[in-house]
Amino acid sequence: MSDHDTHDHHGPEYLAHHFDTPEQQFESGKLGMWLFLVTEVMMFGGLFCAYALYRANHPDIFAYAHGFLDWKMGGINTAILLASSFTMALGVRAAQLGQQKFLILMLVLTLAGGFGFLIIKYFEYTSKFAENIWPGTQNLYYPTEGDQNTNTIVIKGQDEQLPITRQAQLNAIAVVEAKKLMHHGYTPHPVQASYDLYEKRGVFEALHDYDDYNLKEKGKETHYEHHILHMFAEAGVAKAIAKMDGHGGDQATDDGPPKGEDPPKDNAHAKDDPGHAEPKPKEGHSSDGPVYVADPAIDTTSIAGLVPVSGISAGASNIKPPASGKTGLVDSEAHAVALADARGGHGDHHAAPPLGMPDLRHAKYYIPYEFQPKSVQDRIHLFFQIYFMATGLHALHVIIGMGCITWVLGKALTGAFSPEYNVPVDIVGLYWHIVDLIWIFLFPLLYLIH
Amino acid sequence: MDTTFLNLLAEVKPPSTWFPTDASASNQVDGLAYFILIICGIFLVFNAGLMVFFAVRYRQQKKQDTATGATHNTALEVFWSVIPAFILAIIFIWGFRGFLVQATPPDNSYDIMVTGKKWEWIFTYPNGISARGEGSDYAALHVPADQPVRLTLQSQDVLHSVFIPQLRVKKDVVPGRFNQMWFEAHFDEKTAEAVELPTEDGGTVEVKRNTYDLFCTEYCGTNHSTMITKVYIYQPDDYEKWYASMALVSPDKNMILHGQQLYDQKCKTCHSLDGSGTAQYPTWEGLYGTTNHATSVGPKTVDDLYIIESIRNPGAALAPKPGGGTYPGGMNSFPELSDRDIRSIIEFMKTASDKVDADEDLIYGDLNNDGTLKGEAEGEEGGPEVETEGDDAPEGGAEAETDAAQ
Amino acid sequence: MSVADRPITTDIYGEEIELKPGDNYINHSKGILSWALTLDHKRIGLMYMVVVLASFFLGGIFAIALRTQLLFGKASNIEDGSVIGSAMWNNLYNQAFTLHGAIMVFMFIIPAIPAILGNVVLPLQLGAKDVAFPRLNLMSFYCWMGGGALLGCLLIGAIMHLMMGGENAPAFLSYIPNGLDTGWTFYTPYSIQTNTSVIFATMGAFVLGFSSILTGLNFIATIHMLKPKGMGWFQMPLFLWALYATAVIQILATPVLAITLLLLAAENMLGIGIFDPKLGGDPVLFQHFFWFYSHPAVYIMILPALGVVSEIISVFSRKHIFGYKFIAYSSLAIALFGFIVWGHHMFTSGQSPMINALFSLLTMSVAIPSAIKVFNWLATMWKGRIRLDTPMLYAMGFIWLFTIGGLTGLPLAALSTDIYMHDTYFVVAHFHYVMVGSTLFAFLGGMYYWFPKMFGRMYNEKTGKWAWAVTFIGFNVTFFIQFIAGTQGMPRRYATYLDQYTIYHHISTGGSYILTIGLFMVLANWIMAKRGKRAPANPWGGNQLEWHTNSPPPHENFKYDPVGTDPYHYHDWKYDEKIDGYVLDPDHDPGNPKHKPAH
Repeated sequence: MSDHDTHDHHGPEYLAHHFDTPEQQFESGKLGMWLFLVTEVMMFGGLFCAYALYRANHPDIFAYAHGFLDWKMGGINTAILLASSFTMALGVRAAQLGQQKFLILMLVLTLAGGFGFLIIKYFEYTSKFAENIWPGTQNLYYPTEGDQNTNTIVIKGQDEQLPITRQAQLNAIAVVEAKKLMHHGYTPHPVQASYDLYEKRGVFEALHDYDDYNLKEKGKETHYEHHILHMFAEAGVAKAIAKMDGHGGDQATDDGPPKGEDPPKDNAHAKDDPGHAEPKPKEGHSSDGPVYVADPAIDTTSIAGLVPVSGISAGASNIKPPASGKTGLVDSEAHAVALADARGGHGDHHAAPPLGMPDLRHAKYYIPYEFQPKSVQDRIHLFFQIYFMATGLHALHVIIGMGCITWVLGKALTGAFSPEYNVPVDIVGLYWHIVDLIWIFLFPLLYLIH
Repeated sequence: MDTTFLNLLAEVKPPSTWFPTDASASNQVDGLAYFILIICGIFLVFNAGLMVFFAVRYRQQKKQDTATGATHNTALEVFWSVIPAFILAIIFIWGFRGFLVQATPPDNSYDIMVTGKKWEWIFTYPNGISARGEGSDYAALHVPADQPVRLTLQSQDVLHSVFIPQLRVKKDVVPGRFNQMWFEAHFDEKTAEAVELPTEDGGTVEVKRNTYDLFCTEYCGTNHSTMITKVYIYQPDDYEKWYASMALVSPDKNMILHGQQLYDQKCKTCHSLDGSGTAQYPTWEGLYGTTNHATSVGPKTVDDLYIIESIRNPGAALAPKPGGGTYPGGMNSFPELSDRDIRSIIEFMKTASDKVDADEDLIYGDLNNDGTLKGEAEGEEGGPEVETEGDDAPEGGAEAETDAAQ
Repeated sequence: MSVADRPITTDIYGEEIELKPGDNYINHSKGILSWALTLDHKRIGLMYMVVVLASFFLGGIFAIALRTQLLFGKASNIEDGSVIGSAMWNNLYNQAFTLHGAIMVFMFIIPAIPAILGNVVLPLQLGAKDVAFPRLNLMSFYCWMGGGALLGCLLIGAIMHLMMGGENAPAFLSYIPNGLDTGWTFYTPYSIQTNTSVIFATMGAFVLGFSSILTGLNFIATIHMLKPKGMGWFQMPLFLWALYATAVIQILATPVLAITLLLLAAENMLGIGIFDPKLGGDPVLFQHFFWFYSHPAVYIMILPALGVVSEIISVFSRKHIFGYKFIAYSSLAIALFGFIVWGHHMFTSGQSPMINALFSLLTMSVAIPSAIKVFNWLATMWKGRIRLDTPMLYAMGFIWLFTIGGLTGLPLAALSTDIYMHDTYFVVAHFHYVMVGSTLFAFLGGMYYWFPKMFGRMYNEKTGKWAWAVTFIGFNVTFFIQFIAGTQGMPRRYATYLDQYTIYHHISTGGSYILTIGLFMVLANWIMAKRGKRAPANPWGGNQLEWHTNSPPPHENFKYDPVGTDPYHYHDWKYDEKIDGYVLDPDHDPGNPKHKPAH
């Protein structure tokens, strides 16, 4: 630049004209990088806020949806990034010590780590796409308007592309989930649905399709077992039922995360009424129609605290406190009390089942996906949107970081760095560490939800 | 030219006050606003006055002049930090207390559902009618004076905001969320105007009302600036007359009729109106208003809450068979019914009962007699499922099948 | 004796120096590339000045357009088939206020003082040769240009749609961005549903945000690393404190805007639904995200203005600034409080009353540091020797506007009154007083104040004062009446209005025309100053380091490394009638190694 030719410093050539000493220049460079890292943290902080909010409001959805992610791939990527961060740190040290060759080696290794990360990311993304887990409107769980059965999507197999309705795929997943759950002693919640309804609606046909073209060939069955167990076993089904009877799902947006993990239990009553402790799904369906069972075992005192299990609410969610938008706990409690009054005024939440009713309080229930309220169904895709936004943005940062490392590598190959001058290695190293650090946060938040 | 300017000034209405007409009995705004205005006036005059005074008094005489003087005074700094802090604390507490009143609708509020959509307002009254007569003013907001009115706000598309300057209230209408606002209006005899309304017997009746504006204050697209309607305030007696005539001019929305249609489609199979078939399921004859109605969770009053609960969550409290035990399987759930549908069914059910004064309820929408429970019954209107229920085809289909199976 | 025509000026000691080609930064090198690729902070500042003033002009056109629409927009003018009140009329208005807001906020007010005055003055006040990262500085400028170009495309597209749109619109028109009508706040879900080019606008603002981040980062690093000998944190001029506080906000808040706009763009492109209630998202979350940046952004706009005013008040009162530390700390306090008050934009959105109360309380607390500043300025004027030159008039105008703007913030911070005032013209008037009135007046005052330093010429003082009077009157007429309109219940963003508000709109529109005339007078004055008197090194007698070098400064700012002293100690500078400026006794210049500069 012509601007430079007038300066008459007596420092080394890398010293810019407006600095007095190399130290001042290096310190400035590092300070600048740290400030830039602050902006990076703030930017991802925005995403983490969105994540935290939706997860706090819908913990069960997150627990359910994260099962679609492959924690092994994520884990390997974590290890790769950690290792590359380590090689980068060694590289910085090598630059400071003037070990040119070792520096180059370390930079190459770091770069290789970046490539490895992206390659695994590629496979991870493509396997998601094959399951119709896309960002945006093509996501399997994307809310649709009108009749879902007409909404055809394409299952992207490796060899063939077969059209299947989206509803069929969802149903198929649901049936696999149901089978596995029943196998584990869970039953569909009888108030909501009976297993037979599945049959009537021809879901098995859909399952057949799906089995043929997707599940069997790719051995996905265990995969779905995995998420359904997460969704229902870990979200606490009894809690959900208490909530379903006592409180609306969407009010959960006002409240915090679940306070406890154990569903309310009352073993004494189980002994009182042992005959009805474990109803079989078939029992739920008689010639008179499905059995609808009262569930008086509502822990009204804990409803306010339990509310956040938003996902598994049901039709009953229409009975809810005055929707004042953001009413908070106060209303929930008021509502619980009012509800207790409405149920006979005494609010006895440990009452035995009445008059020949089966006691369903101790059964393990789940509520199948398609019987969940639309508000829950509609929100499952949000997890994947956040997942793609966060990991995509992070991948972009990895690519930028690799570009920077390549640039430093180019300079290192010309022998530009010395114990006196190595600040570019230093600040690129800082950048690479923050990229690593962000992944360290993303990995457990997205892949390891419990 | 002078006269033109004076004419312009005369247009400022009202020239003597800062705020528009105060028609609100729940006004939390004016007092604090005038307090702040006075504080602001004092500070502004003080600051600007000092500034101008200094600029004149200490104007530089010769350009050589340079001043020496104190460069800091911590006591002074503390003084002029603490004094504003006190005033701010007063303003904050005053504002917060007022806001708590604004944010807390009284229990005995009269409920109106407000739906905002591009670019109109739809008001649904307790009888379930959204009066939208073309070319008439029925579509505007009609409220009784001297009674708290609670508006529950929902949006069908984008953000809107309800603003009624004379009532000093505003609240955003947020899609996916149900906000509430409330006010209590005064009736001002002096500015009231008379209108004639049709009555049931074909005649007309004269009522008096105040007229104010209702604005949308959250930008909502092209015709945001035309999303304006009127607010009409009536004396309670006159309001009843308006309410009755509103039901008249919206015949297809007549609730009882609607309820009857629904009954024919959904309920008739199991529930009779004349006491027959009780061996199967409870008859509706004389059902509504029954106290001590035996259920699986103890005796209950058959009021709106109970019915809403029974429809929304049939398993919650089952009625016993006359001979002992309960009915097998309980009742089907009907998720496809909207809140208005259920209200209609309730209104229809009341006509089959001698235990309730249906007319009175129809007019005032006192859906149940218990104030504490009323809020619950109202609350269901705010359920997030409202819009989606109709779409839930799989469930609807399932219900239809089980219905047929019975 | 006229010095105007001779290429001679004076240095800080009052000695005549002959102006030779290449001895100041403006004529240091020639050719368009020497400007386009310059790393000199002063040249970058001047380039910013050109483009930022151009955007101000553009934003002003929209302001005049919408005010003119409102001249005719009363309800009784609407008839069947009339243009007024038609969908086209409304769309024009909506586009006008949106583009007015977006351009003024992102392209004028935010960069005005930091990017123009900050870039020119900050290294000078630090006695440094340049900012810490000159290349980053240039990159920041081109980021600004890139973002500006995106918003410019939007604008051109809007005009093309206006001219060619309709039934037989050419096919390519659908690929051209169609303006923006969401308001500068991009509130969802409207910004998801509108058919205007939200993606373009968000990307434009995103890139502009980068420019802002890089400038802030540069300023912080420069202030940390390049302070001269003798200057600790508390010997810094208050303008630097203000810029430092501003830069902190730019660094911390702008990335949140970046991710918000990114999510909004993804929402529009992919339909991810995070902010869309139809897809399970939360529109109020968008408001939280947006205001987490945009409320601090208000302080990005006002804080540098506060710094400029602190300098001007002290220099033109010929008196040491009163309460230096309190003013310095209050800048930081405002910056920090600025981060925790964003929720007051959502008092009516239905968030919980407790959250509202918290934000109301925190918002109140911002008033205290603001009040501290105003009182300290008044105390500085007290017993001063006040010169009423144009910069001082602007500074005093600033105090008037800022006091009104700040005090009218009280009913907006108090909960119950905000419920009434929210989204009415009261809010419009309030933020125009704070953001436009105050910042604009400080910017104009600062431009006048540093004009001699930047260009080496004096502007016409008389025209300057007249222009001040016209802008001051014009501004107050335009916006004071809007307080009354708002209190009367006039909602904002209305293309047409009920008849009872006619008078307010007529007065306001009239005022806006006066304001426009005033601003053109200012511009004319600056352009005419091309032939103005040559400026002495220190025309106002300030002791900040920028006055310790020639006007305009040489390429590397100082002939020798200056030494920091108390920037508000003016006694060593003596007025010299011959040159109409202040000169320094070399013996009182600690930076001067000898009697004369070394080179």
